[in-house]
Amino acid sequence: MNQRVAVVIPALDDRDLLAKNLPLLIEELEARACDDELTVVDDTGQDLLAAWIAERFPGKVRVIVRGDCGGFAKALVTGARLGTAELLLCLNPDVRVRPGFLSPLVEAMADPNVHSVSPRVLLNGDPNHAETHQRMLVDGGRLISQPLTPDPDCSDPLPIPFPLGGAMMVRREEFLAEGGFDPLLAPFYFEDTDLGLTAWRRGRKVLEIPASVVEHHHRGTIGRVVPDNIVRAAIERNRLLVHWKHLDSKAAAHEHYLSLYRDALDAGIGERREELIWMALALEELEAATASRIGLGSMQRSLDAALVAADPSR
Amino acid sequence: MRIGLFVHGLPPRATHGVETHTQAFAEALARAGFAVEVFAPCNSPGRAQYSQRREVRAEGYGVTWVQVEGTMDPRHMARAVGAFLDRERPDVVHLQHMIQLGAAAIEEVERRGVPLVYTAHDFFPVHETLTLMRPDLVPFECGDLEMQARVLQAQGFLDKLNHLGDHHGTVLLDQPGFENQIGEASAVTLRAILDGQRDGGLAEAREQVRLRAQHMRVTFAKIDKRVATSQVLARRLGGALGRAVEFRASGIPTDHLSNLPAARSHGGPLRIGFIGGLLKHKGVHTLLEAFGPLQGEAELHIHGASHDRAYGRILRARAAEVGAQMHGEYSRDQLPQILGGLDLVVVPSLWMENAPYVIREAFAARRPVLVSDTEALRESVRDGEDGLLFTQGDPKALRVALRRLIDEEGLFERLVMGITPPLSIDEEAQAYGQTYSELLEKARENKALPLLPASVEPFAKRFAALDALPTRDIFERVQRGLEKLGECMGVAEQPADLLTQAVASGSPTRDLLLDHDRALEWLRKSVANMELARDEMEKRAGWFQEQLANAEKRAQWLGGQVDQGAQTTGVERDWLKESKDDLEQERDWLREQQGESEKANSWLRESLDQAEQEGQRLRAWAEDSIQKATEEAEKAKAAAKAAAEEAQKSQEWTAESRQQTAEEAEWLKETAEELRRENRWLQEKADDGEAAITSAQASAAEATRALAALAKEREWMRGVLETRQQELRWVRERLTGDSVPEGEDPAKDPAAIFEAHEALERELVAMHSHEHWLYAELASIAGILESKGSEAKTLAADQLPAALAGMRAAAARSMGELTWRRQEMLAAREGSDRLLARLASPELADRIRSWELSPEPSAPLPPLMDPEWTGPGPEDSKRAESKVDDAEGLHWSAPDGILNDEEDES
Repeated sequence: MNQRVAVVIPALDDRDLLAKNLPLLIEELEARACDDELTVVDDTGQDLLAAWIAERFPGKVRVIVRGDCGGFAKALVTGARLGTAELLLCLNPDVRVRPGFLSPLVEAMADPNVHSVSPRVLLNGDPNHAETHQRMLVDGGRLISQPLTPDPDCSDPLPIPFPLGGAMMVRREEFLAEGGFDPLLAPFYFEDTDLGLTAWRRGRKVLEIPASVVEHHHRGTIGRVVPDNIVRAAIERNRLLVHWKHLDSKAAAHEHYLSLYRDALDAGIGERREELIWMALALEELEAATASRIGLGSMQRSLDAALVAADPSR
Repeated sequence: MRIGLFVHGLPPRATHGVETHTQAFAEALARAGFAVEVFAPCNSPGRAQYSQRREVRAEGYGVTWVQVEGTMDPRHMARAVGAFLDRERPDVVHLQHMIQLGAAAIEEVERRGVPLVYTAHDFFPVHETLTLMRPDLVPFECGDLEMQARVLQAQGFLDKLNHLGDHHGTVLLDQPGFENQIGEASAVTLRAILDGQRDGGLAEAREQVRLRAQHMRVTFAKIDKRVATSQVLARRLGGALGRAVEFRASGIPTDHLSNLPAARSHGGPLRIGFIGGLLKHKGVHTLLEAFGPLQGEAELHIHGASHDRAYGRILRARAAEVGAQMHGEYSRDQLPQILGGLDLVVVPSLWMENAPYVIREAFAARRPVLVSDTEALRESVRDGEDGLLFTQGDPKALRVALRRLIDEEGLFERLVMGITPPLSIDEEAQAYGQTYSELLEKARENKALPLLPASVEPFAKRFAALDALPTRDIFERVQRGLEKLGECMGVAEQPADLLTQAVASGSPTRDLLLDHDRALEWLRKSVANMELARDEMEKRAGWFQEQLANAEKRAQWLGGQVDQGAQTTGVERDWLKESKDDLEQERDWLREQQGESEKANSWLRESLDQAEQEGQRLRAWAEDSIQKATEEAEKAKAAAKAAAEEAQKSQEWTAESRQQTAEEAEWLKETAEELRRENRWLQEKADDGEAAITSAQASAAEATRALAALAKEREWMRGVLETRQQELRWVRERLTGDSVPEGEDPAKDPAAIFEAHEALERELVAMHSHEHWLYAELASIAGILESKGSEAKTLAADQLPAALAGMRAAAARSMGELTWRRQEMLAAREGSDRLLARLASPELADRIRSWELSPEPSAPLPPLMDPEWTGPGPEDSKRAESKVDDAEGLHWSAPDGILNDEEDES
């Protein structure tokens, strides 16, 4: 259990979050004493973090400055490429780790069939609201998520549909070999969902490790710099794109299409502009989604089977 | 670029100058490649207030009609404008007029950061009275707010003059050739109001004008581009509102007017024409007056209609007098024909005018124009070059100008030659297009996207681009995208099939609309009811007003009378003064009532608004209540039904019980009667038995008394019907010692009971006699023993033992016999006790035992081996004999066998 871990934090101008959350992480890495790596990728495109981090955390944190603001997915790949450890832990700047969170993750990754793991990610530290603890299903032709209430007494690893992008561990080489997150879903949201569903459909597993706990102060990063309506549009567009990418049966496609057609009609009659805009944004990416879908290749599990296997309440 | 045109009306619903121009302007913009959407109020029957309907016109633009019935509410209009802007997403809004739209429309546009252009066609931003004319047709200056207030006050006064007809904006007072329309007294009042000499309502009017000016000044500042269609208007508006206003001439459609026959080409008399609305401030009556003397030398054609019917009648009458032709209402497409039939056009306006379209239309048809000499009209017509000016409102001056055209050779042709073609509507559209582009560019610079991370920008731009589209355009894109998606997914259904399936799977919007429709219907009814109530209150207010006016008149008259007090007696003067005071009090009261009524009216209006809001809530509540009440009613109905059934059952059960009770009572009554008879019979029997045993048997008497007590007891029992059966059973058990089975009549065999009783009595007596006999036997034995003893005294000594043994044996036999008898008697006694216990209560048994003949042995029994006992004495024998006599009286016979046995053994 002494595998080294490369921790990568893609960051915008999140100095206040880093000042609050990095010390806890450094303490954890030092306690583990496995020569782990800690890298912050400055994705502001303006080199805002290097000097500040050097002053605050001298010799503890490596800072990689990107020349442009490429977004979370690109920044993560940048940090991963420059790492050397076998395991890659991706963290958001607004994630606050709790002591002892790292070792259980490393232990869980010992199983080669495990594709990725996430700690139990508590939204704003609320023990009853774990962002990782959810299931996904297709309801009325639409891909939806259902949050589940975590069992505080359960310490066994649980299957989950996807590792939470803001706190996930993968094998670094494997992640890079797969090309990281799908650029179809840029700028943000649902990249991790796609990663998890792909892993499950390839016969692998994604686990939540309840023994490992972190806190997520949600949208502490994007929500501060992007208006809510843009964020929502990205979420709803990508929900459709991910579904289109993973639709794998004619019947499911037909059901989804009818549902979408009905919703479009209803939004048009009801003049619900935002819903129409979300659909239009997704439909503009239809060709890219088709290409991404073709890139998946053959799968071991159907989407339905993957969703069932990934249901933590099962 | 998408342009939103806002105007207060549009053909075919409204056909005045601004509305007609806006329609032509929209068509021109559409021809120039702009996407145009007109937003205009309308009043269509049956439509919900502030609902919107869109139509697409063949000329390539859309019109959204917003329903406004009655007075416009700025808040609702603001919402309607906001919804329009959100749906249509115009890049620029061009406001053609503010009437019926209000300042709220401007605020909604500004809030969304959409560039706003306003073209002023009149003085509306400064004055509610667009023409700047007093009701007596005297103009006032732009910005004269005091006069505006008086004009409002004067219009309030004119509104009360019913005989004025349906248009009270202006009245004819001193116009030459026309009668004073309102009479001298009203004219005096009107002038007094306009001169500021009447206070009633003036303060309120001043406040209203002040607030409007203040609000309009603020609103006007929010407009990005302010344009006026004449230089005069631009100057005066700018001056009054403190903002720069640009002059820009309006264009007109010219193509259809450019190829008409030349004026005066017909060779006939000069054809003079008026084209426009027949309103007083247009000065048509001045034209008719001017034309009168020219009759025969020229023709006068008047085209247009009037909604001022009283004025219309005056004009028609005057036109008939002077030989002018009234052609009535016309449509815009008749304009070439109308202008083709005229040689010149007259614009005799009494107001200052702005930039009448009819002048440019006449010029487009190459017809000179004669206009009133006003500052604004001088901009449109150059005197002596393309037309003539004459003194405003002066028929003589107009007649002189017309005479010049008839008489002055070459003048008409010079004027025609001097006409400059007016600006076309397409040129105007192009000019405004340039303005729109500049404003939009400026707005985009000011409205840059918030600073976003570079990675988000491409997505945010796509979002913004879509968000800038009208809703229907986004919907269209989505539909096209869905077609492609369907192809990718291999969806084979045709759009009709998809539509069918989509509708079949339900639509939240449709459900919502249906709900709203029902709610609207309910609200309409509520509003109608409230309006009825309001009308009633207004009627009352009117009545109070009338009463007040009458009171004022009377007070005025009485005041006059008081002033003539010198000619009246002191008494009359006092009376008149008192009357005046009374009437003034009455007037004050009526004023108070009027005030109250107005308050009530105001309250009612507020209530109407509140009711509309409450309506929705109440409706929901009422539906809920009805539902609950229905459920409760169903429950109550079911409960009532169950209760009725229960009651029916109870009634039947009660009747049945009553029947049973009656039957039982009857049975008990019969039983009681039978028992009574039986008791009587038993008593008789008891009496008989008593008589039978009266032979010195005190017990019989006691038995009779006991039976009597029993009879009394039975009498008591008769009263207790419910326990009768049990008590009878108890009696029978007492009488017979046997348990009585349920239902058996206990009094069936009383004779057997008494027979057993008598037998017992006899047995007791016999046993008693037998006892006496035994005592006698014992006495006899004692005598024998005594005689044997006497004999033994004489025997020899050797014979004595044998004799003694014989005596002892005889004594032993006697004692044995006695003991046996005694036991037999004891047994009989026990039997008697048992019988008594069965026959009577313990008390009765005790009493019966007390009647027994006590065993009275005549002498104590001698001890068997007592050598000292000498036998009974002579007294004992006597007592024994007397008892035997008594016993014989009971016919008791002695048991012979005992004696015989004793003798045998002996």
